[in-house]
Amino acid sequence: MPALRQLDPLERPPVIGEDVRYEDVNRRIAGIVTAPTSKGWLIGFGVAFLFVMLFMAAVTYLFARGIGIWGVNVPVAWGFAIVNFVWWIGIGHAGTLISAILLLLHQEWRTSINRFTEAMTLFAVACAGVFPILHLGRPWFFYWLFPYPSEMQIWPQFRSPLMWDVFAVSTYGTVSLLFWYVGLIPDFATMRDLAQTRGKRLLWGVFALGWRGSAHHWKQYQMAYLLLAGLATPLVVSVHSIVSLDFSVGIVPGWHSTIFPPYFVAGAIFSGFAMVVTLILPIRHFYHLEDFITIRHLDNMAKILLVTGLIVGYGYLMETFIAWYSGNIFERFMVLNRIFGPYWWVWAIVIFCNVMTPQIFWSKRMRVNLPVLFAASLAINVGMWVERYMIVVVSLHRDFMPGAWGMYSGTFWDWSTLLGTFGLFLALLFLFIRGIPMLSMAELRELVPSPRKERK
Amino acid sequence: MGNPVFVQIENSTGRQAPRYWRTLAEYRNKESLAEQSSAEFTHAIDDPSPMQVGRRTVLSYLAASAGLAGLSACTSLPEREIVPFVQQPEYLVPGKPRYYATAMQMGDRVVGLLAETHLGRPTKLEGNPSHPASLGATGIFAQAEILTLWDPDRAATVRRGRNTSTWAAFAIEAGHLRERMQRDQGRGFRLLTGAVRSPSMLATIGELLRQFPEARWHTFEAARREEPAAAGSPSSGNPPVPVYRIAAADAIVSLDADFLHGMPGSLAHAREFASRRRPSAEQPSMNRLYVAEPTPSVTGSCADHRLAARCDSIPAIAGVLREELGLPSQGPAASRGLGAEAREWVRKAAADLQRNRGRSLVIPGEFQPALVHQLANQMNAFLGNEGSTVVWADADTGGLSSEPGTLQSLVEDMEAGAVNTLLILDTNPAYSAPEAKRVAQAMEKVALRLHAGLYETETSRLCHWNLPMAHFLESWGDLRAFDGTCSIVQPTIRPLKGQKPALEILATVLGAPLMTDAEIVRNHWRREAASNRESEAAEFDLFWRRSLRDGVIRRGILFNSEVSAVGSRAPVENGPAVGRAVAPPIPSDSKIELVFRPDPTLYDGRYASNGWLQELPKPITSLTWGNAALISAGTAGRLGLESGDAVEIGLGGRSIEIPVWIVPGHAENSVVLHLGNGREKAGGGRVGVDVNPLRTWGAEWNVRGATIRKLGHQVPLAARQHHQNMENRDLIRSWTLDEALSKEKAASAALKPELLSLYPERPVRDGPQWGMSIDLSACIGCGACTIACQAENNISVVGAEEVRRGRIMHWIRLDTYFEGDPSAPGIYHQPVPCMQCENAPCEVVCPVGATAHSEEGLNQMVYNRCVGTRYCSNNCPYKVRRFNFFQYADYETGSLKGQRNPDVSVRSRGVMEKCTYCVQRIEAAKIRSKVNDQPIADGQIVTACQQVCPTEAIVFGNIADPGSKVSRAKSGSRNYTLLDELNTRPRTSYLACVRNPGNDLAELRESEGGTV
Amino acid sequence: MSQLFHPASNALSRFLIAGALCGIAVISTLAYAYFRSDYFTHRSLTQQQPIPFSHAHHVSGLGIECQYCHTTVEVSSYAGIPNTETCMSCHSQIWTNAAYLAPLRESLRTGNRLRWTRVNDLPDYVFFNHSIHIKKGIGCESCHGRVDKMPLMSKGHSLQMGWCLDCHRDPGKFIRPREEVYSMGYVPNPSQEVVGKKLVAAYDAKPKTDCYTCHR
Repeated sequence: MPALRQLDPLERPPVIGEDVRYEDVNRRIAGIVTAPTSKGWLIGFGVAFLFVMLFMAAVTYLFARGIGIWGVNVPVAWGFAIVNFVWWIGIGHAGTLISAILLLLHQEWRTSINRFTEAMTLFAVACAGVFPILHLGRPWFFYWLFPYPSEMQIWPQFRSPLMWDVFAVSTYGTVSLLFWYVGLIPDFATMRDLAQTRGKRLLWGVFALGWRGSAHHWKQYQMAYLLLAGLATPLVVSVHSIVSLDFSVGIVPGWHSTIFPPYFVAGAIFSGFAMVVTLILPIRHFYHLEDFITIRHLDNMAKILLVTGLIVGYGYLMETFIAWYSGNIFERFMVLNRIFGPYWWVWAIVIFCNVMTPQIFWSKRMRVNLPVLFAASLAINVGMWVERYMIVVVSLHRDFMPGAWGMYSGTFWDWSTLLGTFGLFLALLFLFIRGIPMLSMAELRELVPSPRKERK
Repeated sequence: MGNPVFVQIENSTGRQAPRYWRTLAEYRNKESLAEQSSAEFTHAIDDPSPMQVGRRTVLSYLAASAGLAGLSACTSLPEREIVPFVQQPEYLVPGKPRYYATAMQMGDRVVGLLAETHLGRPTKLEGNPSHPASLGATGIFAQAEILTLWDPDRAATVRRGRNTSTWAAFAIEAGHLRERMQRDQGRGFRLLTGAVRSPSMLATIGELLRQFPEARWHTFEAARREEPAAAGSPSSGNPPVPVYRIAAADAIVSLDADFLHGMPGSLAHAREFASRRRPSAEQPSMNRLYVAEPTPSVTGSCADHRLAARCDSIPAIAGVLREELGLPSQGPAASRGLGAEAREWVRKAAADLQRNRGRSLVIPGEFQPALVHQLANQMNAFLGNEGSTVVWADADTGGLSSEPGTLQSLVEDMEAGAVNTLLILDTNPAYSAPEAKRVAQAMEKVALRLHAGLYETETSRLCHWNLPMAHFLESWGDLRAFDGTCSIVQPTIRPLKGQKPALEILATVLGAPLMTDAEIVRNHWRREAASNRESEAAEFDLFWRRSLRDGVIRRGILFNSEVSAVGSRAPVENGPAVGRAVAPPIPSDSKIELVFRPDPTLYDGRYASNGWLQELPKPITSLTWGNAALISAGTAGRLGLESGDAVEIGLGGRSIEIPVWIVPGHAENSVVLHLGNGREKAGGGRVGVDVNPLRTWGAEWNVRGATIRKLGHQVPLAARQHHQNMENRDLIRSWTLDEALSKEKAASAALKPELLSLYPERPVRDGPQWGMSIDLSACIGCGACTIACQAENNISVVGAEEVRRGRIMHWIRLDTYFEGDPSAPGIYHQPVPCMQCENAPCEVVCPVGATAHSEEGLNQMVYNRCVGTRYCSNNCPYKVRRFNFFQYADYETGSLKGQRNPDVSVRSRGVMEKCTYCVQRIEAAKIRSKVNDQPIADGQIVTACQQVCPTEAIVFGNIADPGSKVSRAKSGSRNYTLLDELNTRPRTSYLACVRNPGNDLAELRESEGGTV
Repeated sequence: MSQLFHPASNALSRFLIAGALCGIAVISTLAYAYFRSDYFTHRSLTQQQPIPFSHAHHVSGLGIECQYCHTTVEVSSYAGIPNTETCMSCHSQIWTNAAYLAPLRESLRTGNRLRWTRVNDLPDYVFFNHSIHIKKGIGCESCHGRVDKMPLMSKGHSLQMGWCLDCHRDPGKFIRPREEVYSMGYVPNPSQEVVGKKLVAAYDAKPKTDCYTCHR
């Protein structure tokens, strides 16, 4: 048969392994959930949980002592908190992109990773969501950012991008959750049917919302899913555009730039896919999902990394060019200060990780070389975090008046908050892997190569 | 974090240290920016404040958890009390401040003050406009005194040895003492005081010396060089003191004299100086200032021609100047030894002095030897400045026959065992005297040692009796200003903890323990009055009431002659002596000299426990919380030192460890060390380094031949400003006089690009529109505005560690920039308050609208609405917003609450704050005007910074009124706004700084005619 | 395989969803009401006082002018609370041995001050000034309510920010002739709209709603 297939150039290799049968899908994916807890999982979850504890400690101390336990100061009044916020929100984007846009574009290869990436989105948004509150000087008044009829007869200020953030992020969170859940319903039903004990059946049943897999159900389901996809698509663009406005509305050199929205969105997808790769490679390995997450998936994702990486690189280039072209002395100094100033190393890391690293993906050999792919994705994750550090800190520390210039560096508590959110993210992920089928069985079943082919 | 005053400099991380080097590097453009920051990142992680779980922390945990539930805002008000008087004091209106005229002394300086009190609490000190040494302004020390008054660390209890005692017990002790003294005429009794400027105090001491002829009186001022006072005095006997008329001088030469900042009468000097620094079409002339000094002082930073000269070369320079002027002299021509720069400077100065005979002035430095003063006096006499720019006031000796002895003589007597009783009044020789150890040892030999002072000090620890002394705001007194004007010091509050005024303590020793200070002072002046003329009680009461109200004694009422008997007398020409002295040896520059000066903010250390002064950035260096050895870039380069490097400075076997700090415009091979730091017994614990161990009698002020050894580690210094290079940005406009007067410059300054805003234009409102103008030509960079603002607006002290992290809270900061060659830079100052932008970038980005624009053009900051996103600070191009990163304001220490201004909120943790143009004063004035149906007159509202400014550089008012002072200031060609290309439209604008170096060629030609 | 859920569970789930939505609405409505309730604002709540002083008796009963005790109301931000001697100026003559006045006499004898509990209290970040309000024709009653009907003192109004703004945005609704400022139960004649407009113009009452007007 292989010979046959080669004759037909139009037929692309299947999305999933060729010898996968329907029953395999349920058995192997549901099996991950039903199987007894493995030692590896326990260790992994334990470590993650330790970091969650660190996070709680850091937050408690923060609320007790005040924002001063961080490295922030004047002029650099924003530090790790905002960097982490932007970074985590960015991570989320891959999920929405894969689930929504690729769905609308009928990219069927998405199906084997969408569930997983949607979950990732959700957890990333959760991690991001805490920072806008943590970074407040008086966090207990966070609700003043919401428009509600207060007895003071005053409202939030709708001209402020921070105000827009509140809506952007909360919408994003809600839609992602819905999307994820709707996608899960048929699988919950599958789990219910596979479940051995009545208790489990009831539990899964409740979540399955009485799914019976009737044609009527499927019709409704497809429609809802499609609508949600349509709803989520603009979010991919809007959310990080709004986040980018947090900066570009400001007049700080290095912030005040019209290129920010597109270049932030590209950066978000860039970092998002990097994170997907970083997470999916180990999981694919440990849970033997090579049949479902094939080389072709990884190849595609590497290509996306390359493309978005190029867009980000273009962003850097344009920033620099416009700074020179504008003839604005503050803009020019900002760029020179980035490259040669005290924070030159930040710029160096950014260029290496976000511009140079993805270039290796021009070669197919590199794209399908798992260790390389993994290392590159890690580098990109780091690079994108440092890029936000460059935008927030390096722009602020030397702005308009030399007499007020200063330096910034994160403190122990800054770092523990960052690591803490890693813990939170991973802990949630572990629970997800263990508790919910991490690939969409319902959709994967559609992709199983039809037996008829064999008979040919 | 408790009281932030108690932050020690030791327990700190190595951050930020070598910043300053960057600046110099950028002057030279040698190192790349990259290298310059090498040491920045040796420490990625460090905890800003070690976790101390105390009661407050625990409470705040609870608060935090409550906060999590969002409860804090929803809890309604706590129950509070109203406690009315039993018997309402007359004139006291709750909610309205009352002002009392008084005066303060620091060293030889006396300033007339107005004390603001709320319900009997003194909260703020202002200058007394009718006092010649104040003219309405004050220096930094007067502003800080209010904090000293409320300082919880002040001595509170009478102590005998370690045990607490009582005033009664002391009275008994004093009784025994007196009996013994009556027997032996007071042999072996010594009184040691600081400088005495109080007539009644002098009289009381005179009385003491009359009663006990064998007793002796010594004075000791740590920050005063003894001989110059007598030097070059016109007559023998009690030496008169020179009074300078700066305004009358067109050419001023300062020989290491910081006459604008560091001298008696410097406030008046500054006012007069600035009055000649504002060139305009009407008054195109300007004075010209020549300064020769080792390290840039406030005065030096305003110089038109500044010479960085070693302290020990000043006498030589004076000699050469005298020669250059053509005074007869013997000995070799001095000029040969001088460097080219110095000779050039001298030639220019001499030419100018010649050109302006009778309108010129040579001012000798307080810390220069008698010789320099003699030379200066001769030059002034020769130039015919006597009577015009320099006049002589009588030094008040209170009719004492003999001059008081010095500390040195006292020490010798003590060592000789000739002293059995020593009474020390508020001076601290065991810390601040040269060879302080020797003083301490000598004191051990004295049988009975008594100490009265505001604080328990290094000296008080050596005494048997410690008597807590009342603050001047708690006691009656009188003071004599630099020009002889007298003021009555009246109390504004009872001694907080039953302390006693110095006068009463002396009276107790004199056997009148029940005599109050009020009686002593009043009686003294009654006697004064009587001695001058027969006067009835009624007439005296009138005189007394007037004197109290005015804060200045108008002798007219009772006395025919003004006491400020400023007469002119030609100094006796003791020629030959001076002739020989004209050519002092030119010092060999190879040897490193040490120069000792009082600290710019701590003076001689008496303010070491004053948080405001510790945190006030020192002029030029912007250092806070501690001192450093100031050196030049050249010297540093040769020794391989960077700012912040710890060094060991050795001199004759004695040595200290201290960080160095590189100052542009500093003299080569000269190290300037500031006294007053490193106090052990001072509120905050040891801050900075005590440099006293290097001083010896005879070499108190400068000494040659020190050794400097690099220790190889860095000491983190808390500098406010890390970057003093303007980066070619149009921040401070500096013109020469010609430029300022020429039309095209004015035109180019007026030329502005058209600026458009996306936001709709604000409607023009009726009613006042507030604005401010700051004259950079008048600003001398003394920093008084910063500390006055702190006092007025309840601004917190944050401590060294927080300053190092860039979290200083001052609402008006003083930026100092250097320009040009680091060895002889131009030095410029720029006070930066909130610009109150009309298109304020901060306003649009606040999500909760906590900062909004008022109808009167103020950029309002509403603390109680702020949630602390800090976006406003990021978006402020001037970086004038300050954030409460921790709970900086001390809610716990009771006495500090006493100081706070009740019209200004005390900010809590997590909120942003900034300059408000002293809105509390604006609103008060508005309400007053409405209630009394009178319009607000121009100049009726003054901001704290404006009120304190010695040079009237700051003008505030209604810019909607074209006639107002501020509008007129803004209409001039020197007017410009900061970063106006950002279209923020600041309400605060600046007037370009004008320097007057003059046109060299023209001068040289004239000088050739002049000299020879 | 038997049915896992009873058919009724469909209805149940729908009910739960609807209930959740209603619940949110109800809770927010309750919260809205709570923070404006007298319970929360302490309006018309009497406090424990050292002496059961009755404004009703002194104002409507004896007809004593407000300023007799609150002396600085026209000149200062602070209206002033009568000192012991002011009270004694009458009570040294009448009710000289009334038991409930013992603390007053005690205070005069010992010189210890009376400690009243604040009734009309504002947060420290609010800078209210009595003199200007009196000057512009805002009656005591407008903020303090009918004290002449209060045997024991209590807040006449919520004194919440929104309540302040009601007047600062439209003083015409509350302004009254200066001679009526101290009178209780003043009735505008002909009507507040008419009088208000006139007086606002006459007294040039242009209260600001700028933040700095009250917060500094």
